[in-house]
Amino acid sequence: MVIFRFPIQDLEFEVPEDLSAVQKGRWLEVTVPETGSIRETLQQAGIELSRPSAAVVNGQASDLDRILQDGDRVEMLPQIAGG
Amino acid sequence: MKAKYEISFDVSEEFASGRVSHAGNVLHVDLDSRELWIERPPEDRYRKLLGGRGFILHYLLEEMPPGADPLGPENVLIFAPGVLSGTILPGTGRHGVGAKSPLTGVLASGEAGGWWGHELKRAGLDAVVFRGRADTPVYLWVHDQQAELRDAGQLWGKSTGESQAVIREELGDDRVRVAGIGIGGENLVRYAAVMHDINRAAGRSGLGAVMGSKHLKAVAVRGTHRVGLADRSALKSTLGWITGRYEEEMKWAVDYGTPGALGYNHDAGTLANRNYRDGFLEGIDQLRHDHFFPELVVERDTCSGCPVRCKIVVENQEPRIQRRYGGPEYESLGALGALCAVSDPEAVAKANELCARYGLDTISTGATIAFSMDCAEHGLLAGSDYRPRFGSGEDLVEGVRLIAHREGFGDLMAEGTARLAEELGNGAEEYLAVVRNQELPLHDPRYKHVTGLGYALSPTGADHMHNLMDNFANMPESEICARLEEVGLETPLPLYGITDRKVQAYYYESAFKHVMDSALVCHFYPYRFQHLVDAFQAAEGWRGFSIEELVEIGTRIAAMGRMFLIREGSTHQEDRISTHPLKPLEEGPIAGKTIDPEEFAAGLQTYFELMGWDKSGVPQDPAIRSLGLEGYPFAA
Repeated sequence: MVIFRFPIQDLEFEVPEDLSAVQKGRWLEVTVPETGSIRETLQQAGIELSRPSAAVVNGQASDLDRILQDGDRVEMLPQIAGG
Repeated sequence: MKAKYEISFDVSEEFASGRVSHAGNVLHVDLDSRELWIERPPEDRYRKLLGGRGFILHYLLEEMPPGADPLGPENVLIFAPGVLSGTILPGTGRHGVGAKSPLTGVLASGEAGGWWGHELKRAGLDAVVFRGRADTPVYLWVHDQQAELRDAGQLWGKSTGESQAVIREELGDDRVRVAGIGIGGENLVRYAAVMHDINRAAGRSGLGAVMGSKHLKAVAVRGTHRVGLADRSALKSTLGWITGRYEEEMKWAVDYGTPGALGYNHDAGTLANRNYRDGFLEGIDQLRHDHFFPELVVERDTCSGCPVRCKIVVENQEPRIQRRYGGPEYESLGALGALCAVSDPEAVAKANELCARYGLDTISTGATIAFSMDCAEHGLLAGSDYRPRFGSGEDLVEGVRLIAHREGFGDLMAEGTARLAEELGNGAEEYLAVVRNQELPLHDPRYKHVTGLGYALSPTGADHMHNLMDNFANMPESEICARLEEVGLETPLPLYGITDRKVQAYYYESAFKHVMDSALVCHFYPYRFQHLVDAFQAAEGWRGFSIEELVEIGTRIAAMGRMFLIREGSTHQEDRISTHPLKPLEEGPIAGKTIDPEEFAAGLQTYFELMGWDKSGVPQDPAIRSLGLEGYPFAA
């Protein structure tokens, strides 16, 4: 299982109702089974992001194609293009 | 025909009747003789170069003598909106300013938002080209089909805000828009900015110092023509698309503007804390938007014709921060805050206000103070009257003041970090973060590797604007991926590393941005290639305009930038980032990451090949001819 953390106020996302989601401060934590890369795992879990986001896995800025391992913690950070 | 002191001119019938988006006039001003004259550029120049950066490079290559002193009378200073400026396409309330840079010795080309560029077009001009040096301070007043050089003796020494107020009073019109310099430009600080509406900067590379060297305090404009369109129906689908989507696609800009990026960029590791030394910034939470917006932000602001209102307006009692100077953008928060390890938002906002008041580039100002802090920490400023400490808001604000006045150590800091390092010696260059003497913006090349390559390839020295952001090319939802797909590139691309495919993406994305900076369109709008193609057809009625032609224009402007860079004596040896900002960090989100030197060297060659340049990046004949640039001689 991996834990995804989304900033509640600034990241637009949809989490399916059947997933258990816990609010911790300004973050929403969702635990899902890892099913490959960050992209694939989000997709499999039915979590949709409407904003481009960078991923930080266990404190390391990571490619969205990084393969997730059991116990990983992934922060999704909204990103802004341009200046 | 030349006229002294003032001139009247006509606009084309098509422009006057709102059937085309360019006025057909370029005003030339010789500040030595105080003569003014009008050039009517051939129609094909608009289609080949679009205005903005395209026009800036045309006049630099054609009118400036090779090797001119950037702070001498021979330098040419150009103000240029583009063919889309002031049209009903949202995001076109912008214009470009350019010259040879006193900081880098190559191209200075900056864009500013607001209303100034729109007003210049409405007054009947597509550009103003200055050369020479006035023997006493002057300002230019442009209003409907008239231009006049006026005495600015009473304005010299005044802040940008005071200067604008006096000009408006003198001209009896509060709607006059002013581009001007503060004492930073007057004192020839090598990274002084040209301020518009006193809070929008053509910030980088020292354009304000070029104005100062010419004793040109300001350019005031007001016009009443309507900028028309040749074929309004061609813009219909783009207008529908952006009107229906901007609130969603640009939600970040609507919500918090660029300052909203600071906290998350810190968390992703791209903030270059404490002059590139730390993976984390102590006290970062104070600089996050959710902390400082309620404390300091009193209003939002926007540019001509833009519904987004991305800009913030800050006000504070102690320290006093005047709201008329706007508020810090992401780059300013990063440079004055994170680079200097200052997390007190009031100190950072105050330093930002002073930069607007004095007319200084916030990135180079913050970077120079951060570099001085680093030097002080390493004992290199032992005999100096200013030994700033990382993290000290007081030292930050004092540093801005010293730089603008060239007071004490500020006189050395006003030269920029590369010249300061040379002056200090004792290994100070070890702490530099520059390309071609220009301080890096706040996008850490250890995280964004192709952005780093783009810093080295930019005709302006380190620049994040006409560049590719690796992280966005890694996100399939991004507008950058959408654009790359449009030109047939497969996305997403890997986050780290410099591959041929990523360099190809840089080639297209930088060409697109050169078009945006010429036509002139705000980078924050998520337009695709086809939207701009439609916009050109709508604005100018250009038949058969295509995505291929748009890419060709972008590469033409990139090639002209390279030709100017080579002509002014810069070489392939300088296509590099100084070593300091490439040293891997021990902790933080990008610990252990950096650019691979071999990938970097190969990336340069891949780009040169795509552009048809030789192994030293010198544009070669087939490419020059196919872009129609054989008329601009340059000696390698």
